[in-house]
Amino acid sequence: MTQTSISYAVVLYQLKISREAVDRTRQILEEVPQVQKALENPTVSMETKYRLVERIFPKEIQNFLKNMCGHHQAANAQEIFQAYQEYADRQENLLRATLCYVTPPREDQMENIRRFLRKKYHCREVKLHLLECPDLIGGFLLKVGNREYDWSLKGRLQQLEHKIIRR
Amino acid sequence: MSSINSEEIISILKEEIENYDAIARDQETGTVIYVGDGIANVYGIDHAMYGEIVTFENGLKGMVQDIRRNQIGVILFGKDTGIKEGTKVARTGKKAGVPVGEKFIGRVVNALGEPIDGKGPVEADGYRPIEQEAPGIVDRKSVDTPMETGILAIDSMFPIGRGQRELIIGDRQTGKTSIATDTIINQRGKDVICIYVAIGQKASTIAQVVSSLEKHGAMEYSIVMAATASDCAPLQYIVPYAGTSLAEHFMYQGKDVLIVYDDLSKHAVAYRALSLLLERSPGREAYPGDVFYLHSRLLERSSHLSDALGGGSITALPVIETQAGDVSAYIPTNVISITDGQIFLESDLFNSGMRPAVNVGLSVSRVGGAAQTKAMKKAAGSIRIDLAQYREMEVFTQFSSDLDDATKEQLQYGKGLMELLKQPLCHPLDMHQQVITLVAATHKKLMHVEPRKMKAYQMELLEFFERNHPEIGQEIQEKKALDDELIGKIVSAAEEFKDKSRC
Repeated sequence: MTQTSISYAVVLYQLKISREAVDRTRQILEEVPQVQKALENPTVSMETKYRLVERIFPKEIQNFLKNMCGHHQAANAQEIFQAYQEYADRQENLLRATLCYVTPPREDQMENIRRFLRKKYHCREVKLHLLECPDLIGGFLLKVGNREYDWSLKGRLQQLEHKIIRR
Repeated sequence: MSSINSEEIISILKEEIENYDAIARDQETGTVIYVGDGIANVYGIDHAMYGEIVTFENGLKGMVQDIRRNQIGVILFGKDTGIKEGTKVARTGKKAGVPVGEKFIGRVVNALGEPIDGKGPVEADGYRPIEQEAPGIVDRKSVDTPMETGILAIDSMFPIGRGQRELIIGDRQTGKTSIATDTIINQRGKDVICIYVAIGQKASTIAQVVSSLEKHGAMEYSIVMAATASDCAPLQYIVPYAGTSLAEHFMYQGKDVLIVYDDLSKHAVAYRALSLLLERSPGREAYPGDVFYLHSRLLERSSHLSDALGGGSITALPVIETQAGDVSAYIPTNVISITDGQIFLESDLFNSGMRPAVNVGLSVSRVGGAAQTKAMKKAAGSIRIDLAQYREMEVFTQFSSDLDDATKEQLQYGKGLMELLKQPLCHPLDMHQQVITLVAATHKKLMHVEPRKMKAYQMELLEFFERNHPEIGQEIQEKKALDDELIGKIVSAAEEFKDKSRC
């Protein structure tokens, strides 16, 4: 992620644009790649780009998008939105984590995991993304950013294997 | 291999599994983006340190060697089969290191300290990072004890001291490794631990060195650390550092260590391969910009520690192979400037039968003179100048047949000296033997011997001294000095032998 994208993301957050509008914009750009291409394209005139922005995107984010096109940063849109999400989460003390499971966890287990994460990362709220991974054989695997808490059967078997062959 | 039957293996495995206590792993992980030629690029593991060890899903280890904005370049300590895009990588939080300990003596190990001689696992006393800071200025003491090579040409003219770094440089097939192995063989009973680090050499050559060390009983105090030509470049890159770590373990216990790096040209080549694959810019001869630092930080770790730190030492004998005698290439000039002197071997001399093929004019030892024993210094006093004069005169008189007696005598004397400096492989001479030879030669007691019989005459003379005048040798060894009386004794004994000799 480039510093430019991070700077744009910070500004986007400080503009107090609603999260829904940002998510909607991101969704449009993802789902209709032609729009993204048109905004990136240097041969398309600025007027056309502005018209496009005014017709398609939510009103509150239009100025930001126009500015982005004006500075030829439309190509970095997805990166900017990614940086925005990370920055916004950090500002709002929100933690995103992924839980890979074999058998779906019960509500109380999920609550325990949330409590553990809140305590460990000092955050207000934890958003758990659940993902079914049958290749774990058993147990679970919790991913928070780069960190991984491995309590799966696959991981334990791997540990045992490394211990036996001493690698 | 030691014989273990299948039942034993099964019982060991059962025991391991029963005692296995899994722990929940809390790891920082990343994923491989692309891999090839012994390098893996990893996304994630944002907090990895430079030089940290990371482990891949299949158990393979690697070292962080390149940190960029979004990815990390990792060099792999093994084959990259099994590593693919998406393979998980985890931090260990540890810097690259090797196990160290007394039990390594007498063993052949690889760059990671794992035994490769089939004699079972080695019990380690500790773990030492491969990259260590060199001792500082106050931690050091000047070189004062000789590290005898047992080779007359070197000990008399280019003495090496304990803690010195003396480069052995020459073309291929000029006897560089032989000088190193002879030096190791000569350390028998001298309380020196020897480490032979083989970098990028053929496994057969290493096997030869090991068998020759074993034959002469030198493996009892030696360690061989090898990264063969078939090992990957990262292992060839770390092996000299790993060897030095092992040497430092002994040095800080107050012991004297001799370490041979055979050879650093191949080390530089391995590092060049790594650097180019890591996309670092190539410089002169395509080596990266930090190739000088590569060797200077390695050789700077050889030192003679002060008494407060135990007084141990590491003497380094790096080997450099030149191409067609070109010492002005990049790596040779670098290492020449780092070391405290060099022994220059020439293929012309080697082919003309002068073995060891030491070029007396170009070789030098910058600090060893302080470590030379007084006896040797006195005995070898004028030999270098005598040889220089001989060489000059030899060229001058090449075409003239009519020479006066004084010139003839000088030529005869020079020729005799050159013959004396020849020495067969694995036949190191003790200090007193070298002193006796030199005193007899410089006092012109060997003038009557034909050059081709000189070597045989010298051996018989030394035998005669051991048999009939053992007190002379003992006195030299004990006093390590040579007074006029002792010189007189040697000269008269040599005179006595002259009448008895059959040569």
